[in-house]
Amino acid sequence: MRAVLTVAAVLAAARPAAADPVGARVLTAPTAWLPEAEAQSVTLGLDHRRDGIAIASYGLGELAEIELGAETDVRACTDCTARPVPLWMGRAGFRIGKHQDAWFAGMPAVVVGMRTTFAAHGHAVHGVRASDAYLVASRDLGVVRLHAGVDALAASVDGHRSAAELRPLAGIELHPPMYKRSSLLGDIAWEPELDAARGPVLRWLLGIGVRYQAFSWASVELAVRARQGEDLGGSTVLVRVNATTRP
Amino acid sequence: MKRASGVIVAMVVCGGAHARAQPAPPPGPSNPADPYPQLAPQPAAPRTPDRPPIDFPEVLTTPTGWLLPAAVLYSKNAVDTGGGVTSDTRVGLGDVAEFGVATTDQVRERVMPADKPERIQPYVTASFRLGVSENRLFVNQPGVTLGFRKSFERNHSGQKTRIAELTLVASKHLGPRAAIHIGGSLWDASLQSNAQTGPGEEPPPEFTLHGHDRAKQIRAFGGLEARPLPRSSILIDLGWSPEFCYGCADDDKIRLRPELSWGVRYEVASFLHLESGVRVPDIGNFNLLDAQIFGQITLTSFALADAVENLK
Repeated sequence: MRAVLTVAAVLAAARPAAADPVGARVLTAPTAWLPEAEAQSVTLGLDHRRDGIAIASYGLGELAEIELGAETDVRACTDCTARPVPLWMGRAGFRIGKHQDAWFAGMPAVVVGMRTTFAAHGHAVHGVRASDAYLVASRDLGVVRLHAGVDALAASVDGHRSAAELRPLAGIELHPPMYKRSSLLGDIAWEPELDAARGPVLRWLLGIGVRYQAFSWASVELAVRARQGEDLGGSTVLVRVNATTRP
Repeated sequence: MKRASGVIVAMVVCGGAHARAQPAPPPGPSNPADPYPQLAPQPAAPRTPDRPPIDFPEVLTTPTGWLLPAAVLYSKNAVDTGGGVTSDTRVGLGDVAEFGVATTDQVRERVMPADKPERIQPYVTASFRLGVSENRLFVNQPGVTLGFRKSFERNHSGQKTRIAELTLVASKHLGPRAAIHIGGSLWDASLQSNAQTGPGEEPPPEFTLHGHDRAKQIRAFGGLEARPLPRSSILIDLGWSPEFCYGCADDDKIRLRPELSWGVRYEVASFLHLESGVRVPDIGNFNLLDAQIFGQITLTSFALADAVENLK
């Protein structure tokens, strides 16, 4: 209770944000930052197992954002005694929300989002689909940016469909004042693991990394991500580049 | 003969030189010496001043009570994550009607009741709507349209299907930043097997929606629009779409399924709008996996209206 009150007091006392930061995700968890109208962003990433992400997004009138691309965060297995393999799947997302301080001082940015996969062909598993709907709130407190939310995830594989299950989302960004362009990132999110024999199960995905804002329009991230059910050696190291153009 | 040709050429050249040497007539159409005033170059028609924004004929999937202005062309093209590709082209007729041809991916089929419904596409429809624009008859009168949409016959999976929809919808602006749409629709659809029959045999029976309880045909639909920012609107609508089930009992072969959509419309330019959002094809059996994310581009053009105006 005391912690909740402390957080509420900190949020209420937070300085009004001039403009929301950019970036639709911490590492895996979504943020509530929405881009400016007509802003275009691209995120390209690759990890040491050659899995990756390639997502482009477009800001729809400071109200919403649409994303389109492909990524390998969802994993699947036919024999799940071995390590599940990442699936390249098309992914589209739609996010709608409000900026910080939009309705009252201290209000966090809030976004309701929906993501779904498509064009998942050419794998050993069939009938692959993963969708999630989330509500996330983000607040820039200067040195720290906090993200918290809830995610409803559903998936299907080989005729097994799972009902939507709720999981928390959380992320934190630290901006040490002495390093103007660098930030430390940490987040937790859930992704489905598609077991062709037993159906989908949800696994957490923990990430920790660093973002370097090389230019006003581009940043580079280096991060390590670990998954539930995998040992430390199964963690992946990824490099990601984000670029944003403003109208 | 050679000499005659030479004389003719000399006359033509001299005539041309003489013509070039004529003083230019005073400009203006009122010159009485101008024998062909109608052929004289006319000053360009003045550009039409900024037009008010067009009230769109659809929220996201349901019709509105607004019609396109006369001779305005409208084209909407959409894709979604379910693999749907649709197109809708319309033209406004005299501020009182509208004609359009579209392909829709909303009609779905399934073989057995337990199967997952699959869309039938392209499903081509033609539509005609007529009505009265908002505030035309009296102050605070909502825009009202009566529309009819009918599909061409579609052969798919060994079945012959058709749909038709009659709609009556009223739309009203609630201040400058919001609008509401409420309507009712009368649906009909038919389903018949394409199976070959031998000589003297009865053709396969045709199942229709109107062959059952009238309540199965009538549905209410509606939508809301809110414009929190000058160029951005939030849209929500609830409509209906037919679903064919080939292996179901006779009463359940054709059913109407509720469809919920929400999204954002952003005005990139006066002639170009981008829309994106989420569509749930059967909100009655909501499953997160069935939700589709769509993106669509809407183009509007006054080119035909301007051309008609210039012809006048």
